[in-house]
Amino acid sequence: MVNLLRLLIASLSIPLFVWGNDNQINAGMSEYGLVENQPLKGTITVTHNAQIPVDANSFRLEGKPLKAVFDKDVKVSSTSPLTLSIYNFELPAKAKGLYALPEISVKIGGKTYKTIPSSFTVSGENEPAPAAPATANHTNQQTPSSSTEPYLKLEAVVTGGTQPFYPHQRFNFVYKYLYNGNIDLTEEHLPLLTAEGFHKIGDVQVRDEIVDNRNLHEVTQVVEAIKPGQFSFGPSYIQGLPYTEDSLGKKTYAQKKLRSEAPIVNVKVDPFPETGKPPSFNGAIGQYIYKVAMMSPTTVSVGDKVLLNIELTGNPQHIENVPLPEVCCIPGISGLFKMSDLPPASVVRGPTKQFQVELRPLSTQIKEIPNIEFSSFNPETKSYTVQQSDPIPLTVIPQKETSIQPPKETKTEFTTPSKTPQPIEIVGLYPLESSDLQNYSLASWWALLLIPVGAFALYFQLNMRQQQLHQQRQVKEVSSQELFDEALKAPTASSNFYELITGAFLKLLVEHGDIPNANIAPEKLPQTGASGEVRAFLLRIEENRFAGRKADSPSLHQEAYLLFDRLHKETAT
Amino acid sequence: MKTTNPLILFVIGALVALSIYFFVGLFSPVGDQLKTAEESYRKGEVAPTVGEREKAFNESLNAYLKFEKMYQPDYGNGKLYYNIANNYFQLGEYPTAAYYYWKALRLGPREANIKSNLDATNRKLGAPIPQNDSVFRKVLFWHYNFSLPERLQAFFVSMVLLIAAASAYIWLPKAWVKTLVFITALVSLALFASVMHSRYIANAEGVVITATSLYRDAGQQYAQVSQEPLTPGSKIDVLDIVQNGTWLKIEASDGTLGFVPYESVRLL
Repeated sequence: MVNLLRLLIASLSIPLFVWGNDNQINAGMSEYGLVENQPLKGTITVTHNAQIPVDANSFRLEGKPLKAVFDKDVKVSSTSPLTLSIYNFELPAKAKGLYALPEISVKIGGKTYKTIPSSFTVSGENEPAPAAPATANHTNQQTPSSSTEPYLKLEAVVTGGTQPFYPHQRFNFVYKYLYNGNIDLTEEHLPLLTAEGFHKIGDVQVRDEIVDNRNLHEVTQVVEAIKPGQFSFGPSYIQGLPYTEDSLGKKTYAQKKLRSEAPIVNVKVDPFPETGKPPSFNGAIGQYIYKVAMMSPTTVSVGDKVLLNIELTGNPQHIENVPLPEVCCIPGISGLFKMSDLPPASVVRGPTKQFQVELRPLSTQIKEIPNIEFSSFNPETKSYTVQQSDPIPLTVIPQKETSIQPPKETKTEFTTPSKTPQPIEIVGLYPLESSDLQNYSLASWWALLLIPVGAFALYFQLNMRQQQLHQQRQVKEVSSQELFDEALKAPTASSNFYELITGAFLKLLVEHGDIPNANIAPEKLPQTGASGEVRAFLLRIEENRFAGRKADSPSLHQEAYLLFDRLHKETAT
Repeated sequence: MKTTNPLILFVIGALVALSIYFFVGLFSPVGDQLKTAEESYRKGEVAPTVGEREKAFNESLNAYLKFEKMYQPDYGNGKLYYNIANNYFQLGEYPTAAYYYWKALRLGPREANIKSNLDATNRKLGAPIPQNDSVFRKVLFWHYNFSLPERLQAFFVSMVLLIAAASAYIWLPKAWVKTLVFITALVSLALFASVMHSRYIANAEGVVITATSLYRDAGQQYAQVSQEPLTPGSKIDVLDIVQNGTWLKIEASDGTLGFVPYESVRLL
């Protein structure tokens, strides 16, 4: 059972997932100073939106916590919201050799991002520092006599492969600024970053670190070769003024400018060798693991859609660019299957790219999807690799007979725009009005608020009703005077007279405060005071009544009136 | 001085408001755009060639998709989604058509047109056609035969009636009023349970858009649950979302459990 709250949160986080697509993490070991038996230093560069923080405590190396010390934030540009956050880390010392730096992960805005594993070399203690993997010649232009003197040096190198390169191959143009102290750059000429004649992939990536007590600012642009040729870039140069800053932040510039020039960088892009080029080669570069799988039922009717999943796993640098094998023209496909007019959808996940190819069989003679050949070129060995998938059994049955006639089976059956369309198989549209675009009125979860609101309203009304009833009961209580007046109206011989006169006198005693309530029998009244007088009167008239003696009404009324009036006045005072 | 009865003023005001509403609706630009979209579809139906048909349906589809983005009538009558689905069907995009038909059916569960076209789509895809003839559905008919927005509306009305009846019973404790309270309370409770089930208990649903294998766990390195992949257009129950939203744990229409990548499914 799904947790709907997590579903809601996940759905809400999709925009963040899309928004945070610019987030990247790169990690690498220092190019200099990786010597055996010494701690190995590396740098992690996190490209992220400045408003989405990096969780510095979430760095993990192979799942274990990695201590990364924050170095600095570098804004990519004044108009971009992206920031590069640079962290330094250290690994334990290792012996001399080639090692792999596993993937490092970090959380940005609650989401985990990972680096691509890379390799690094630890040199021996007595060996010279490892040479930079550059193909361009460069010379030291400035050698400071002390580390405190301002120092500026520019290097331009090509990394990510050895020359010659080949079309669609990706590699890096790199500028390295080595400098000491504070320098304001006044001029930069960096033709490698414009990379004319090459296709630029993504934005420049910037990395800063400290190497041998000098600052290294590295700017990398990934490029892709487009066509064969010989390309030259440069010379490149940078120029700047060193300055010192006092405690108030005031800059004092040096008299002499510093300038560093990197020589011309030559890049050669060769055409793919014709010798041994397989017919199925269409520009894929690198080594791949190649798989083809059927993604739809293996028994279909003529004209039904068959889905093939073609998966290639290889170098992440080239995987995005690897083209789909030419399925349409393979013997066994051409003429027997119809391809979709739309280009196949592809998805890249890490080092894997998947294509979904739609085919429609045109004949019941088809027994299988034939093997599909994929060729790639390895620039390092300068040779082609050809792989073939296994044939996939497929059973094609005749289309079911319906009132709609299926298209005739021909060798080359393509739907051309001018062809007559098939009859409509579904019920038509609803004519819409603007009210159909609106949600139903009152169809809202706010309706649940009626439960507490209704409960409160009913509670309130109940209280009001109870108060009203209580008031009505109080109003209905009759006073002793009213009862007495009623009694005087009744005939003295009637039982009503005796009940009313008894009730009037008892009510009077309650009002007088002599008795607590009027439910006391007259013989139980106290014999003293007002109660005694009332008791005597009531018992006498009761005795006369039960003895059958006819009472004199006027004198009885007068006696009752005098007694009642005297006691009533006493009660009033 | 003669004063006007407030009730009369209220009725007049309501009539004026309704008149303005309908008057504005008649001349609304939205109405014109809807007519244009419908005309494009009709043009596609009678187009003499495949190319003209596709062009007309694409125009109609783009127009309806703009309305969907602007209005998002997820608590409406579903007709917009039905029209979008029709366009996708005509353009041969059957999985997406199935998705929109399911979306329309959730909002219009009694509409025969939607069911008919959805069945046609499932036949095209070879997707299983769900069977809806259990006794449960007949007994709890209000839950299955009415859409969630309709049930919310009915709940609102029944609650208002319940509060009114209960209030009446407080001031007029008669037997027939008590019966009325009991009936409205029963109806309100049934509708409340129904909407709560839809909101908190029922599984989320989705439609497979691109064919994908069903994996034993969240990752392509795991074995597949079955040789046959999930058919595009088939409806599934989403049981969980894992791996930071990149994989879904689902139950297929035949009851098989497994994991699929998030991008191969669209949630209803």
